[in-house]
This record gives sequence, C-alpha cells and structure tokens, in this order.
Amino acid sequence: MALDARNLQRYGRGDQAASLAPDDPLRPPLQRDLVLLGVGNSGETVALRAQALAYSDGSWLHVAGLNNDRLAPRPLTVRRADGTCEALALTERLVLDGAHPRERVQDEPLLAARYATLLRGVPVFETYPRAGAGGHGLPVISALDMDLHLEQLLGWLRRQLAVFRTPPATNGSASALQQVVQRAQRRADPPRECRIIVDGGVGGAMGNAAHHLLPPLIRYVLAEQGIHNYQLWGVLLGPRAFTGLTPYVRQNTRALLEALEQMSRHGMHRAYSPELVVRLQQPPYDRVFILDDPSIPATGTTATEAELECFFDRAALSITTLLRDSTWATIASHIANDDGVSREDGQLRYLHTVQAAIVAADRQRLRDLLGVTLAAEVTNRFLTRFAA
Amino acid sequence: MLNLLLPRGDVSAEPTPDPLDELLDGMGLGPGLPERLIQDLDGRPFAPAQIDQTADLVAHLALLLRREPVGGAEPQIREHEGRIRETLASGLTVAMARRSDTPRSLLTGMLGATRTRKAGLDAQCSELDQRYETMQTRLHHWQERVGQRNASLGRTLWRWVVGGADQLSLPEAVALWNDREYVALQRTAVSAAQACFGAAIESIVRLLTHLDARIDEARELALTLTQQYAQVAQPSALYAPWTLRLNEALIAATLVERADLDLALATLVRQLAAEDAASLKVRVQTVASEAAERLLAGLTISDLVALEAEEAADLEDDGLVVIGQALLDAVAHPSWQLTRRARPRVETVQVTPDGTPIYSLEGLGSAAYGGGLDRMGFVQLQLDVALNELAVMAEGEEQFATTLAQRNLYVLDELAATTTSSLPGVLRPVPRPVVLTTTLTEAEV
Repeated sequence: MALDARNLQRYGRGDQAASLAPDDPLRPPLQRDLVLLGVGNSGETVALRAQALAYSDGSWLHVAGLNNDRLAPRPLTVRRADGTCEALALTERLVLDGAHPRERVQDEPLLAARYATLLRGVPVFETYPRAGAGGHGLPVISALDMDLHLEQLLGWLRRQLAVFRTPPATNGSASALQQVVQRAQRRADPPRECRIIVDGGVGGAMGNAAHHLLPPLIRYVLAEQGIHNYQLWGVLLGPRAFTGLTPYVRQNTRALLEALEQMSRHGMHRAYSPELVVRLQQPPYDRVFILDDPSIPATGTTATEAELECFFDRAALSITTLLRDSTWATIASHIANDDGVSREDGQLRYLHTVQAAIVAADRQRLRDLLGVTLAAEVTNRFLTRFAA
Repeated sequence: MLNLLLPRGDVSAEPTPDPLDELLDGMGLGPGLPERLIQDLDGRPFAPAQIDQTADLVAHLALLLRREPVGGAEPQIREHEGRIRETLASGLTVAMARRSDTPRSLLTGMLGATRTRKAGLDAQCSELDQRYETMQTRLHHWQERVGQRNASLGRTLWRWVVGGADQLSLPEAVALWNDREYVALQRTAVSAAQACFGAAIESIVRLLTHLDARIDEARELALTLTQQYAQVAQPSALYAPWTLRLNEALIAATLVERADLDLALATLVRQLAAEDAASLKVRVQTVASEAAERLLAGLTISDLVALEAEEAADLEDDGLVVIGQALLDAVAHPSWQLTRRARPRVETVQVTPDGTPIYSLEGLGSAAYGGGLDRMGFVQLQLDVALNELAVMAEGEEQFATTLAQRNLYVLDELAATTTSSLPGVLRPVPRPVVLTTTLTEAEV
C-alpha cells in the first residue's frame, strides 16, 4: 500500500503514558467469575481492549494471551482511580517460541506421524523459520507449536483458570469475628457460574489452531481443578475483517468451522501426547459467537489498518457489553426455553453473533472541563467587577 | 407655618433615600438594629423582669436586693447578633457582586456610612452606660442601707417605707429597680449592635486592603485557567471505543450557561473576606468545583445525551430518540455474512445504567450495564444459525477443494486423514527431513 507522506502526523499522547505496574494498588477489583483468553494477534488485541473497557468501567477482567508471535498488542491508555493516565499492556502472555518446529517434530513419534499428514503439501520454505514469529497464516504450524509446548501450555492454562479459585478480597479492617461471618455468608451464596471465553481470529494461524485445540485442554484443566459449573464460549473473529491479510483466510475459516461442527457432533478424541489423550463427549464450546464485518474491505482487496482497528474496537465493545451486569442474564432468560440448538432438519444451530452500540460520557472529563470553565468565568467576573 | 415659605416641591417630595443607607438597611445594619435585636421571631419585644408596686413588696425583697439586673434577653440577643453577622457577610458580598458602582467606591462609601452609624450607637451606648451607673449607685446605696436596718429597726422602718432626706422610699426603689432592668436590656442590645457594625467595618477594611493583591492574583489565574482549559479540552487519549461519544466540552459550555455565576462570585467574595489566608486560586477552584457538582448532580447519561442532542440543532423530534435510533441502526450493522435463506433469531435489549428502560419499543428488553456508569445503548444477539447458512460455507466451495487438493487445511487428524485418503494420487509417504549435522571447529565457536 502506498503511503502518502503528506498525511504524516504525531502519534496520540496515549503512547507516552507510563506503563501500569502489574501490582498496581489502584487496580480495580477482580472480576472473579470471568477469564478471557485471547489467542493469536487479533485475539490478543481484542482481549486487551476488553480489559481496558472493563478497567474504565471499574473492574479488573482477567485476560491472558496465547501466541506464537512475540509482538504484543499495542498498550492502551486507561485512567486510574486517582485520575492519572497509565498504559495498560497485555502482560500475562504465553509465547510459544523456540527452535524451528518442523525440525523438532521428528523427536516425538506421535507428532511425527500426525504432522506427516497435517503438513501435506506445505512446502518447507513456507514454514521456515516460523517459531516465535507467528504461524504466517498456517494453522497447522501453530498447532504444531502448541503440541511442542504442551507442558507450558497446560501450566499457563492452570495459572489462568486458578483465578476462579481466588478468594474474594477481604476487608482489611474486619475483625476476626466479622471475617468468620463473611466466610459463612460466602458459603451460603449460590455457587457462581464461571465463564471462560476464548477469542481469536479464524482466518490466520494461531487463533484458528487454538480454537481447535484449546477448548478440550480448558475442559481438562477445569476438571482437574474440580470446577464443573462453567460456560466455555468461543468468539471467532473474521473472516471478512481479515480479507487479504494472509493467503488462505477463507479456506482456513471453512476448515475450522467444519472441525467445530465435527467436534460438536462427535466430541473429540485426540492424543495431545502419549500421556495426555483427551476423549470428550462434549462440544468444543458451549456457545460459539462469530464476530465479523462483511463491509470490510470497503475498497480494494485487503482490509486496511483503520478498518481492522475499528473492527477490533467493535468486537471488544460487543463482548464486554454482553458480559456486563445483567445483559447476558436478560438475553439468556429470553432464549432459555428454545435456544435453537436442535431442529427437525437435523442441523445444529449453535452459531451466534453479537453487536453492541453504546453511547458513553466521560464524567471525570466533563467534571474537569466544567470546573475549569466555571473557574475561568468566575475569575473573569471577579476581574470585571473589581479591576474596573 | 414656616413650611409655607419653602418651595412647594421641597415640601411634597419624599427625600431621596441614599443608596448606601438602603444597602446597609438591607444588610440588617439599620438604625433600628438595637430594637430588632430584642424582638423575638414574631416581632414582639422582650419584656424585662418588673416588680409590681401593688404586690406584697416584702415578698419581693430578695429580688429588690439583687445587685445586678435579672436580664434574661442575652441568649436571644446573641442569637440575633450571630444571624445578622452571617447575613451581613453575604449581603456585603452580594452587593459587591451585583451593584453597578465599582467595588472600591462602594466599599469606601459603605465604610463611611457604617462608621457614621456606629458612631451614633457609640454615643447612645455611653449615655446608657452613664444612666446605668447612676442607677446602680443609687440602688446599691439603698440596698446597703436596707441591709443595716436590723440594727436600728424602730428608727429606720419609717424612713425605709416613706423615704426622706437622701434616702429612697420603698416604692422609689422599686421604680428604680424596674428602670434598671430596662436600661440593662438597652445596653445589651446596643452593645450587640455595635459588635455587628464593628464586624462589618472589619470585613470592609479587609476587603479594601486585599483588593489590589487579589486583582493581581486574579489576572494571573485567568491566564493559567486559559492554558488549563486548552489542556483539558484536548482530545482524550483514553481508550474509549464507544459507538457514540458525548462531546464533554460542548456539554460543559451548555451547563455553564445555566450556572448562577453571580451567586458563585458572591460566594467567592464572601470566602475571600474570611480570615484564613487561602489563595484566590484555591478559593476559585473550590467555588467552581462546588458549582460544577451542583450542575452535574442528578444528570443521568440520558439527560446528557438529550442536552447535547438538543444543543446541536433545533430538533423537532426528541433528541434522545434520534440518538436511540442511530444506535439501533448501529447494532443492525451486519456482524456476520449469512446466506439468503438464513433466518436468524434476533434478541435486542437496551442497556441502561441500572436497567430502567429509557426507550419503549415492541419486543425490546432492558438490561443493566451496572456500576452507575454513564453508558447506554443496545445489544443485539443473533442466534439459531447453522453452519451451512454462513456465506463462507456456501461460497467458494470449489476454491476450497482446489486448495485442499494441493495441501492440507485441517488441524484435526481425522479430517485431514479423511480428506487425504479421498484425494487421488496425493497419499504419498512424506519423506523424513534430512537432519544436517555439522561439527564446528573451536575457532568457529
């Protein structure tokens, strides 16, 4: 794409904000029943945006990223409780990095046999070197990265899902007796339903591969941790929004959707390693959301940076709004009696999409502007009266 | 008769009231202030203790022998005084904020008028003091004589009752005692009125003393605030991907027009007249932020939306409804691509801060965004869609098959294996890669 140098501008002030420390004491309270896992570049980008939105809404959404690309999403500027602005970065990331994966695959007979089939027709030139620099549009390469780093992947999942076991923050000033009462109240509360959301692109490599391989592992780790009351949602980003970004966007999407249908009908049986064989009579996701924008690209054959930014923003806004307070509970109550999964024609109708449109005001900014304007008006009146 | 010699106009015309006198009267610093101080809330004057001449005077002997007046109006007078001092401060500042003449000339004029009135009270007070001292002397003398009567009861009883020589009779002492109560009451009231005028003079003097310094400070502050506004009004760098975002600068400008700036100025001047030495900047910021809070209190997101929408143009329709329609259009923007025969089920809810509906529409639910946040809008969920109703599945089947013939596209073993085995001529053993091993010399290392 040709760049018009005349349009060059300074980048926004947001990038100059100091980075938010991971143990920032002003961090809003943790949302203990929700974990958002962003996979791949677009998945991580949307996840970080959702976290920034939750932050500005006064809650800390636990977000983690999984990628085989070292490049982290661009930090976003958020306002802390004391009014200062800080850059929020995605710090909780697992980057599947290391030696050239196609060479390492021969070390493990299970993987050697599997990838002999999966890498059919993929030239070596196309995949070398790929580790730590993304899957370059080849989901099989990202799947290989995941298989090669299975132990790390499981460890990362265990850490992320341990959030559900985090005890609620206690009031530091509460007496021993009050703490006993608070614990008793918590025991009496109805069990919380946890939600795990995996968001990632469908047309590229990492998001696509993770949508295949991550859900069974999440269910495995949740079972291991004794968490049974949960909902696992998949948010599939694209494919139209990523038009022209990698060579096989539509083909990868179709292959993924076929795989999800296959797993939704027959469950999943996969040997992740000789020691870890997953046999699930469960669909990969309890709900599947597809978030796309058919109007992209508006012109040409490739989605522009601006179109992608806009798409990521809309996706993050839609996800966070759906998860806010009583939004999902209200919708779920409407569809509870017939959520359309099974029909007479034998088709599974589990696909959803969501779109939110929100108007918002920044009351702090309004308060600041109003305060300064009023101060200026009062000062001017003072001068008019007294300096006359 | 002499009036007939004066020009007619001078006789019939009402004397033009002095504006400064009117101002002082309005602030409670009128000539009748001592009288007002002894009145209760219904305007009834305080009745001092009195001894009835016709009653059994011996029974009231204990009262008659009191060396100090009974009084009783002091708490009421102090309360009135405090109230008048408060009113006085605000009256002074409101006058400065609202009157057309310049504050310096106003303050100078008020200082002169207040001093004149206080001088009248000072004179009245010294006359009352004199009367009171005389009364006290006579009464104390009588009381001392009465105290000695037991020593020569038979000889002095007569004089005690009827008086004579330089000695007061009993009825005269009672009358004097009663007068002392009245004079004591007047003394207290006049003294309190003097204190009110004294406080007013102090405030005016303080204002005049600090006026020049405050003006310099205000000029500097005006410049600072201009820079501060330019900084605050810059586009926010905060992440805010809202579909529509309110223009806070426009709303602030609209709200400022609703502010009572005279009251804010009066509050500022009153605070400046206070004795603590906070800077003008701090005072202005306090007054402005309090005024801002008052303006923003109770304004919900829907109020703010309506405010900005109505400012934008002379709308015939409800601005809030127009914005709602725009948001509904935005949620209807396709977020996936379906085939023509697909009939997704659609659920739309409006999202408001606490779940209370803002809009009414058949089939529209309502949910809470929560957290008392300034957010409102809509969420649309589409569901009940099968795989083959997605456009990506219905279109490009041939292209997919062609690509699949060239290379595997699946991640799942079974799908890849099925496809591979169904493709003629593509099931070939994949050669093992040659592992190159090289031995590096020590020098190369």
